[in-house]
Amino acid sequence: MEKFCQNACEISCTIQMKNITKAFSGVKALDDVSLSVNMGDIHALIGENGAGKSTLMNILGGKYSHGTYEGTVCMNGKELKLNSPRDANEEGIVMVHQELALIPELSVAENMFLGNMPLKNGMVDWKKTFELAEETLKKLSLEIDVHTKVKYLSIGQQQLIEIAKAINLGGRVMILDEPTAPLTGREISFLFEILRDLKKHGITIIYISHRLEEIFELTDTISVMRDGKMITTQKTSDMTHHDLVSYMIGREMQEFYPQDETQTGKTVMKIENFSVEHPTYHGKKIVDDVTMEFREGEIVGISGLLGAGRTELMSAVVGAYIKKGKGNVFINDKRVELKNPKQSINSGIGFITEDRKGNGLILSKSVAFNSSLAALNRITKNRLLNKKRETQLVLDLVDRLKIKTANVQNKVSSLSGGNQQKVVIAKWLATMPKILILDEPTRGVDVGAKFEIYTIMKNLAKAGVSVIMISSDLPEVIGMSDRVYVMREGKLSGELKKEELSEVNIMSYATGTITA
Amino acid sequence: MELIKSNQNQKLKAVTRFAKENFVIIAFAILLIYGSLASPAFLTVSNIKTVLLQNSIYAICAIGMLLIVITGGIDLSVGSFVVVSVCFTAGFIQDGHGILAIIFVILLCIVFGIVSGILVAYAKVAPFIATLAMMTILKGIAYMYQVGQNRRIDGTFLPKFIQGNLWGIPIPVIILALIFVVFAVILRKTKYGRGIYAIGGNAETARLAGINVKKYLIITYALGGLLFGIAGMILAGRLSMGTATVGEGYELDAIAAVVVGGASLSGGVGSVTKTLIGAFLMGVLINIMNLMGIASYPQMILKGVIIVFAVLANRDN
Repeated sequence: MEKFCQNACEISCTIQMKNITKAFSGVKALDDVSLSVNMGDIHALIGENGAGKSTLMNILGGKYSHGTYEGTVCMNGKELKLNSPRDANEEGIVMVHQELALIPELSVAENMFLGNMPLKNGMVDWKKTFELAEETLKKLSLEIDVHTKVKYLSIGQQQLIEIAKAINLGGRVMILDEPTAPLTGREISFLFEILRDLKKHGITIIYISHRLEEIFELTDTISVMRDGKMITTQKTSDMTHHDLVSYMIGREMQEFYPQDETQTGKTVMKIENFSVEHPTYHGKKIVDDVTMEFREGEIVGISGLLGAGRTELMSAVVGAYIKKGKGNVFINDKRVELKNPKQSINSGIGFITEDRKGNGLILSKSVAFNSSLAALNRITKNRLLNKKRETQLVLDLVDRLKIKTANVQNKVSSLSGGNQQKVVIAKWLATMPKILILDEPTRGVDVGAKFEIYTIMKNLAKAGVSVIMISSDLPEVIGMSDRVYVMREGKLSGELKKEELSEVNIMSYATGTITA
Repeated sequence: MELIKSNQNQKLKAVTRFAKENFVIIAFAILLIYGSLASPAFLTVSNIKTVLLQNSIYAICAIGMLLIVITGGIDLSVGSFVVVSVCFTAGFIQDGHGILAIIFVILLCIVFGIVSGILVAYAKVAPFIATLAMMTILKGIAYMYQVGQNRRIDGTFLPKFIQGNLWGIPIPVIILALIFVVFAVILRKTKYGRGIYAIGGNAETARLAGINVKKYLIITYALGGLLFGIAGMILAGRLSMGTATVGEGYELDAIAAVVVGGASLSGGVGSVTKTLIGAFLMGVLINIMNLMGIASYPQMILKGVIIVFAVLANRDN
């Protein structure tokens, strides 16, 4: 076997995974997959959720130990028999997970050295810990105080700390799983700078992402997986956006964003001079004097950088935010004061939050439980919940949204990200909203499910629902919206009509290069 | 070949999952079979009656605890509620309030429950701490009211009723059966029931879905107080007196029953049926050991072992 590896590996390649097959209780998650990654490359690994990317990377990262799969893994001509992530770390392979694994109550430095703190006489050497942490952050030109507790950092900063942690572990090969999902445009470009810099230092990066634009911008090579198989590996420069999407979904995709014309009707919701105070800084406004208007059958995008106050605005409007908003909200020309989510549901507003796992779903409960949760009134008969009505409601939604689950009694935690997101949407459709607010509706969702979610949004608009989409994904905002509001530092900085939509226009309002 | 293998695998998995989900029921059945083999006295009408009677108070407390555990909370003041209820029921009856005494005490226990609920829901005090405080407060109130002496209520309506039978079934068992049915329906069939599972699963998700989390939490602690109060009244009736020396460790037995019955202390999971069986599993175990002449210290050890086993069996993966 050792010999095979040497023969199979060219000098230039660092990692070679050959004929990997892995099954979970009889179902093949990986079917004869081979992957080779060149030294110092940024290598994209893409595919829909469930394509097998994570399984493959978990083998490389040591999570699935040697012997639980078929095939060989080699690095620099040597076969690897990894039994744990620790083994992998020792070989220089470090995985940066999608779910942030930092401990909020500990400092940046403590988090960076968690599990391998420098010791002196058997005790933690704090001085050295902080010094080393500072050194690493300086290398990455990150200006973060290593004494700060992680909970005070933005999600973007936390992601960067994760990467710093990986560098600390001496990673020569870094696996990044959806690193940009929680990041804003500015943070993403910063991350890319860091990754390119790491590449210059000879570090190999395997980059898993759903965002195709990023892949074209950043990577050297692309491998596409689908249904547990490796479909193709090509140089990034040889591929087009269109090729990539067709490889991923296995069919030609005519238009990524559904382009049905929708009929815009009368104004259903108006927000007037709306302000929200910052939850911690007294006197500072996180939303500042915003006026917006939403119509029937229209999809309105709300764009802006992270921290622009988009989410805070909408959650304060529906009464879901910690701080109450000041200003007027009109629904069908009637002034309303929505004090809590219950009242906003009764007023016909659905609010799909950005944090699916944190407050969108109850992961330990079933698809049916989650789908009917916001619409219990609709399944109540004689003051008791009616099982028949519930089943009917849930099956209808599962069918309408094409939620892939064998049984509606299965836990939502067993579904893929895209299907989980559809369950959240199902929960809100069950309330039959007149106004549906979606905050980052396709974050962490695979391409196929993305398209389905777009179609659902279009269909809702066609049925006369006023759809409001908060999104940091510019192509999505441009592709889906009939009109876009751009926010910047709590203020409304611009409004763009469909024909004015472009990345440049939106970004100039979002960053303040133009002001309204 | 592989297909058959994976088929068998899946069947095995389904069986294991079934066994895990219904661990308490299976364990209970095994215990019953073992008991009837181990002692001829076990499966006699009088023994069954004794077991039911002895454990109905614990089982009622366990159902109250279950509601609170489903919301992700815990109640350490069960025993103190029982003591307050025992003392005040006997005291009020002695003072000649008659049937009004029952209503007073029920309202009192509900009010105390509401206090715990407000502490948890509005003041955001951790349930462990809020009910720890309630535990000593209520116990103090009971002692102060009792001032040392026991209050005999022999011959009044309460002991007569509680010590009686209906269709040959002891009254406390009938009360338990009623409570069981009512709460099984509440948990399974009402918006409130659905709501507390949601709160225990993820309170923020529940709130955003329009569930009035604070109100539901207060109702839950109030219902807990009601059930613990009822348990105390039954105890007063059985003892024919009010005394502040009872109720010790009731909360722990209730927690044990709930946990053995498969509920998760992190909330969102639990069933009334399994909790009831969990309570009786412990009761029957002790009964069998008594019949077999096992001393009480080894009994305590075995009780602990059962709790550990139940929790291991209930764990996912």
